[in-house]
Amino acid sequence: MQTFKTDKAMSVVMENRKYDTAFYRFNKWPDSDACWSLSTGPDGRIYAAACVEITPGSTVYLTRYNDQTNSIDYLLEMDKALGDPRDSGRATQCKIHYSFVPDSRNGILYMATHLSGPPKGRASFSPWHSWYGNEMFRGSVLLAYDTSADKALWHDLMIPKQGCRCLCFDQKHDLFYALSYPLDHFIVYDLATRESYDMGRIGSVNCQAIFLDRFNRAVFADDQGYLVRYDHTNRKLERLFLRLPHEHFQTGWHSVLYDAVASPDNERVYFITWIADSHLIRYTPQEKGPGILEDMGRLTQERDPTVPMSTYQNHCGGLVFGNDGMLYMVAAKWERDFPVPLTRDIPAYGSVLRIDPETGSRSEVAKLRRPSPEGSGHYVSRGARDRNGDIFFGHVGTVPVGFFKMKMNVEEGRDNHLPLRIWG
Amino acid sequence: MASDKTKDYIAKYSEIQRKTFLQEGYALALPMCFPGDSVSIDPDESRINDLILASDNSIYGVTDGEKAHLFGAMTRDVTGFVFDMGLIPGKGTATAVVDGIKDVFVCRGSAIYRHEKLMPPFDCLQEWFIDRAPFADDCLSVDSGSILHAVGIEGNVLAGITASELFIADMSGKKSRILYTDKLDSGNSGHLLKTEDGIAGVNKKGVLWTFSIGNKKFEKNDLGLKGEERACLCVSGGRILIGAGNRIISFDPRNRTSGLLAELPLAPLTTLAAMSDGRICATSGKEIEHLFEVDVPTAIMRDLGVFVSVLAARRYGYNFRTSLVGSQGELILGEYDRGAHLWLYFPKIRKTEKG
Repeated sequence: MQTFKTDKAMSVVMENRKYDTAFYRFNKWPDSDACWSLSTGPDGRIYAAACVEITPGSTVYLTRYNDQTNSIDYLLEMDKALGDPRDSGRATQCKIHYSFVPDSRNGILYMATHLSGPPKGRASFSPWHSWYGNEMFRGSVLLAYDTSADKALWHDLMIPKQGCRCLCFDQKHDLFYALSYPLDHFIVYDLATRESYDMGRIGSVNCQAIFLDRFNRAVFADDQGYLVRYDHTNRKLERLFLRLPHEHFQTGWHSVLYDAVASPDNERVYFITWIADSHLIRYTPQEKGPGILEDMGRLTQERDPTVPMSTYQNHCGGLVFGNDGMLYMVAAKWERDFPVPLTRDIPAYGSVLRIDPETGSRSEVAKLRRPSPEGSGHYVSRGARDRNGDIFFGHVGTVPVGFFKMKMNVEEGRDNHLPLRIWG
Repeated sequence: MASDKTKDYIAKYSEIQRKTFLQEGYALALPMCFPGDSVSIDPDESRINDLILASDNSIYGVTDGEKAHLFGAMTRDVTGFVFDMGLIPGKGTATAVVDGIKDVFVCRGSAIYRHEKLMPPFDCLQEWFIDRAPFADDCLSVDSGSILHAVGIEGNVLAGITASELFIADMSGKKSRILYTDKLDSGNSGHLLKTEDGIAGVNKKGVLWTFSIGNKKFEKNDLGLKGEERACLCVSGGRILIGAGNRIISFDPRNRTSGLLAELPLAPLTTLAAMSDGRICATSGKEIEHLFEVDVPTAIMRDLGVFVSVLAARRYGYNFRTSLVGSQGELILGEYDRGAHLWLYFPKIRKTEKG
């Protein structure tokens, strides 16, 4: 594996050129506590999930950024769309977790629901605790949303009793790929037959992203950070002996994929891991081999490695390519440099990094902060680019959450969102 | 088919190569970190001096050395980690950790420090956070010198000793104060023991002493121990067991009688614990200690072998200083070696007539 000699994590060049950023709060959905999914729809507009995983008896609201009015459109209350009411006494259809996928052929945005929202009247919900109870989650539902007509077309129970952690779409073969939670099984859903196939257990941690390589194979990672590949032609899951890089004091456990984005030419995939001190990794798939993995270096700042750091506080996310061919993402950065007091409420912001995808050199081009006194803006889930070429980042933090927009000053045009990302 | 000669060779080979190590139960060596995601306490700062099982079933310990650490460990339900709670302030050897109501108390030098207990993380599978809180600003000092050891009495009250004094202290936050002191003859060798009505120790002359908290009265019992030997104490069936050198002596405080329970083939004895089913576990030896088991009713002693952890972390365990019995009946041992681990030993469950 090639290792890039990047600067230490803190040595990010401060870029003169800064982008204007603005925060859009889900004001009409005040209990929303996480925007886990934010993706570009088939129409080039930005869709965001206003998830409610803490408040009992609620549901996720499908929203869209309106670039005409510079505001948020509220499209769909998921429980109503699915006929699974928020007050049913069951765990709620509370979120869409890295599970928006667009279909460029017909303007449909697919989405799959996830669990964790407590039933009405309950303080909390654990799928392990409630597995045999009446309050158990009904299951992850795949919903097809027509973005041109603004209506839900159909839905289907994709994973009974479990949530969908992440979703990927193989448009060529009409197959969806998902990872279930909590059992952590790899699920294949056939759009033509509307049937699901359970390909078996992966582990316990639950990978946060599945991507499709240019040979139409689904790729993700297991608990120990090994890439796993599914080839639909032989219906085989294969562990690739390519292990995702991690820090010296870590073992590779929990280094599953957190976010992944394909290069504009689809030759390579860039991804990050779901562990503190995440590395940026470049992957070049091979048709007849495991592919080539390149470590492009750690993304977050120096810290005390004797602390088992939370991936909430030491976080990276929002990988997205800009129209300029540069890779953008957000790394959590504490307002003070190391050493910082290790308490739960370390002030932090989202450091938007622009990364040269060839060399790995990076510069901070914007800082994401929630308007005062709303708290930190450091935690970004996903990033996406809209038809105007502007970049959006989903945010997890103080209620109500929302998303950031970063104005990119791209030339006028209507197709600045292409190529579409086909996984959540 | 192997010949008899070959079989005999294999049997002897196995006896030498494999049966030296634990032949019963399972030992797990837990690295002093969150496995997979944090670095262990520095090897030079990791030797475990004292351990307690707190009322919340968390394990707390202190390490030896100039840079002494307080650590907490959670092994119950969905936890599973050791956490370095930070460097203990002050100078001298950190000799004791004591359970309080909301805090744990740490003795270092002549001071007693206070630190809040660990909160169980919300989750150890995703987005865990374990807060490294600082030690409380206030500490309580003892006038008579370095604290040799201390044990909890009740609530936030502890009893401890220096070379010349026994003290009882109330560590309730800002109201912390010394409640009582008494002169202690001939120092102490090894750890204190919390007894039914007070504390016990063995002084430098090898005499077992007991102190009743209620009537503030000392009693001394010469058991013929050698004063230079570090003594380990535990309670079993109302008796005080004292391990020192290679001997385990049983003392009944009710009638002040004593007797030799077991004589180990190795010395010195380094830890002693009475398991919940009545058997006694002791570690003993110099460079490579063995685990011994003593059945109290029959006084049958068995050498169970050298500690080895083959599950989770693979580690050979050579030196130990402190042990106690955990909430599940397991033996918890503090390794006293460079790169120390916290050890759990689950003894073999014996087959009964019902089984």
